[in-house]
Amino acid sequence: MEGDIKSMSSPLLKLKNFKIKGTIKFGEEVEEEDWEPMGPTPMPKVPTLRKWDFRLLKRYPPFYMPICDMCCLCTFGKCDLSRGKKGACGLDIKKQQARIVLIACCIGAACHTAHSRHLVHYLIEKLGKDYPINLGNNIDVEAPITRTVTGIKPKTLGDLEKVLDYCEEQITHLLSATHTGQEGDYLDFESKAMHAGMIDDLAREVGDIAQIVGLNMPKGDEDAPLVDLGLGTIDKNKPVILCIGHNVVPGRYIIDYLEENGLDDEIEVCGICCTALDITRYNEGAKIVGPLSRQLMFVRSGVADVVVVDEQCIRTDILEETLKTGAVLIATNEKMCLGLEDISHLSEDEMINYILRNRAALILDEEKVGKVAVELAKIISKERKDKKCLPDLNEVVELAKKCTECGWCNRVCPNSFEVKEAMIEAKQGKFDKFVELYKKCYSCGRCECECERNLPIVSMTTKVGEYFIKDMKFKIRAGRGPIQDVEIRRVGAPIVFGDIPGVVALVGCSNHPNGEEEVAKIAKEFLERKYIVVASGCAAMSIGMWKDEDGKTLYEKYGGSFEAGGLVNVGSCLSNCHITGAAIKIANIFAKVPLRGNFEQVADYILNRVGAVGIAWGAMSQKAAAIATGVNRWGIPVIVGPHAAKYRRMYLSDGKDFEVLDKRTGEIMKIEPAPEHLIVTAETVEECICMIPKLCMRPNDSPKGRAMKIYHYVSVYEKYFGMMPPDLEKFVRTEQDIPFMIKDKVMDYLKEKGWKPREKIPKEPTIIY
Amino acid sequence: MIDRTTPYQPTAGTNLNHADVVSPTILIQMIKRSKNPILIVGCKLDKDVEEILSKLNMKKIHTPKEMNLLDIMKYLAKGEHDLALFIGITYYYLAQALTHLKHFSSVITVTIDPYYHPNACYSLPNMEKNEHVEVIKKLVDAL
Repeated sequence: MEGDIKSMSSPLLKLKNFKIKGTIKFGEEVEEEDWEPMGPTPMPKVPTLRKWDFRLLKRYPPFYMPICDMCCLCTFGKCDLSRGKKGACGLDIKKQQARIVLIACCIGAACHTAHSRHLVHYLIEKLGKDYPINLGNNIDVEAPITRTVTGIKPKTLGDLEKVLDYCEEQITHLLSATHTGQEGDYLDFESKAMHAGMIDDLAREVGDIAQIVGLNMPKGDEDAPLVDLGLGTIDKNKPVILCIGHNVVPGRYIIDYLEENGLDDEIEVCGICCTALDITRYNEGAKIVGPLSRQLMFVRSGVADVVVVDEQCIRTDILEETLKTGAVLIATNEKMCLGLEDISHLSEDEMINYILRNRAALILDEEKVGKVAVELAKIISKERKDKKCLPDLNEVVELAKKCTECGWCNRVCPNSFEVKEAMIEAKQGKFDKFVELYKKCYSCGRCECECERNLPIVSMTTKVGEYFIKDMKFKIRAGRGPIQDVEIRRVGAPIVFGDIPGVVALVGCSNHPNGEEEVAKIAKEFLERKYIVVASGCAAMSIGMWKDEDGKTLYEKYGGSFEAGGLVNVGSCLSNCHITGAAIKIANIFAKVPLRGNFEQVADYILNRVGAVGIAWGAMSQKAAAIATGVNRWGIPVIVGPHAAKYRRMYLSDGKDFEVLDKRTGEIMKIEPAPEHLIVTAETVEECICMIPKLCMRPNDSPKGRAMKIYHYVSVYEKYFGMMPPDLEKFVRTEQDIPFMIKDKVMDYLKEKGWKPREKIPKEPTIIY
Repeated sequence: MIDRTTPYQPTAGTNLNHADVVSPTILIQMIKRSKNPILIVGCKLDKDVEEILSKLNMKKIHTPKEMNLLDIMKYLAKGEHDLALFIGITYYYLAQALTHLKHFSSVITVTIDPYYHPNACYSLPNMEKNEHVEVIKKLVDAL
């Protein structure tokens, strides 16, 4: 509350420009005070955590790779920013890169916030504002990000609205800073990008908690059921409904309608991308086709009779592609209306008739989608019974014969796959190269757009894959949601001291550059080494789409607990928040660091003590930029694949000694560069694997813990590159850090490098000083 | 390949400033005149070319085995080497990483892959494998 009295004159008192400020607390706010004293930065505004960001950015300065020489965002331009030139507004190339990164992070944060707002709004409408947030007896710290960032301990769905109000306000401020003539410093742009990333984290936590409690999804269940995954699990003889996107609500009503009408066994409900993961969290009978990357192939295959799209990660030509197969499409979300007629006001029967006539419609009343999609699937499947959507093998050969071998398909392929070579081989009726292509291709369709003969290359590839690869049935553990407090208690000390060598989080759209197998390979390597492997989103699916020599997926081989050697699928992209949440909970539950409004201290704890690293292997959207930048602000490093160089900015240290304050002695001292980078690319999966143990090192590692991490670093380097890590000497602090099993070898190497032990090692490292 | 100077992946350029195409003769002269050249060798190198290049007497860094490519770019930007040559690195990845040196350093960058690389200062044009092998042989013989 604020008041301002310009002037007042009375016989007793004369006032001029008198200001009154005060706070009125209502009942619920007073109650809030009980759980923990308020920290220094509740609901941080854009500049509140700037000092923290600048500390990080001093150690890990932005490394820019401009994707364009120009700025084209206003009509003063286009402006040439190359070779030190400035634009009409005064912006230089560094600032422009940082500005674009901020825009990407704002897009990502807005996307997750809008998704979460939709979920919370919908659930409040159905269940009421007072519906309790209860994640069960094993989870007391229900919302670690929300508690730390906002200072709110959400008790009801209504409380989540306050958090979203905050997110939306911050995104507006952040986005406005990208307008012409606003921010003029690249580090401040980066600080704002980190703020956007943190808001993204927060919004995801709100959305996932809301859907977990409101839709009764698993609440940290380490034994969440194994569910079907893969194209081969879909029974094509039944009517098939395919849901694509991220918002579970329409899928929920489809499942409910099937159950209520006893149709569960008669109709297949499957999904692509995070909607699929979330539907299986709601009902284990649903099936996951696969990650977003297989979208075009699956739609082209013609298996789906009804395609239901909601929001995010959907091909924007989905309507055109669906209609080609004779299927019908229902759009269900205001973010993707596809130019369709809004028929939400009609009755369900009228909707069915409308769609039968017009083949597609927009229905914003998701409850009605349940009946409409199911009833349509029954009708359309009969109608499409003999519909052929893909060329048969002979036709593939005939089509291949039309290829002029110009080679442009190879050149426009994002991964430069050998499409031309597959085509040349197919002319002879051989398909080995097409099969290889099918395994790696994510069906973006750029080759088709370029082909001078308009050959349907994706359809040809899909046919060959379908024909020759029969074993497309896999298993994935349904997303379990948060990590239990008791699990954190068990692993807190071993992680902080380094006895568990690290937490490896595989997130995002991880199919690039060489197909799903690479992500599974990373997971397998570190599961065998007893790291904790956590997964979410399409990466979680990719891990499941690979089988070992026993014919089993990693989910069938490894348990779902958050423990050494555990493979934890937290759920969809929204559920990524539980990975950051686990790191925050380690600070809170194990080390008693207070969370409430205490961002800096918590992030400083994570940066110096929690050996976690994120891997986002694929080519990705703006959401991934926001997620990565958000976890960076929490002090968690991220490794991205080669395509992510196109995000334009990494945070790289110079690999020299870092400086920290030892809180125990009050001394500022030099330490090894751990973790070395905050976000960095790896060119190949082998490089990525070799980087993981290094980026799991933390200044607080005990000698035993560091020795364990060094053992793995040396071991993976020798396995994949056949040599000792070329920078090993940086990370061996004293002889105690050298693993006993390889001591002679490491000592020989260190001698050659002229290594000397460090005289001092901090007992309580911090960068806050 | 019909065209010689369209970026191998056509979207790899950065709009305004694209590499000059360099002939083997000029390339050899550039290397000879350089005070401190360096060759960055990637893991996607053709076996035949790799064998020929092994005889080249020049400081080399193998990426990613010996160093991460972005760390290399950061190191090169400091200016210790006046000429940096690149070969055998994933095309789109190198294309993007090169833009760091293009904008934030004065080091002369040259790509000697058989693909035109717009973001280097100088690049060989797109060419067939046998032609490329001949160029690399010529280079090694001359140095």
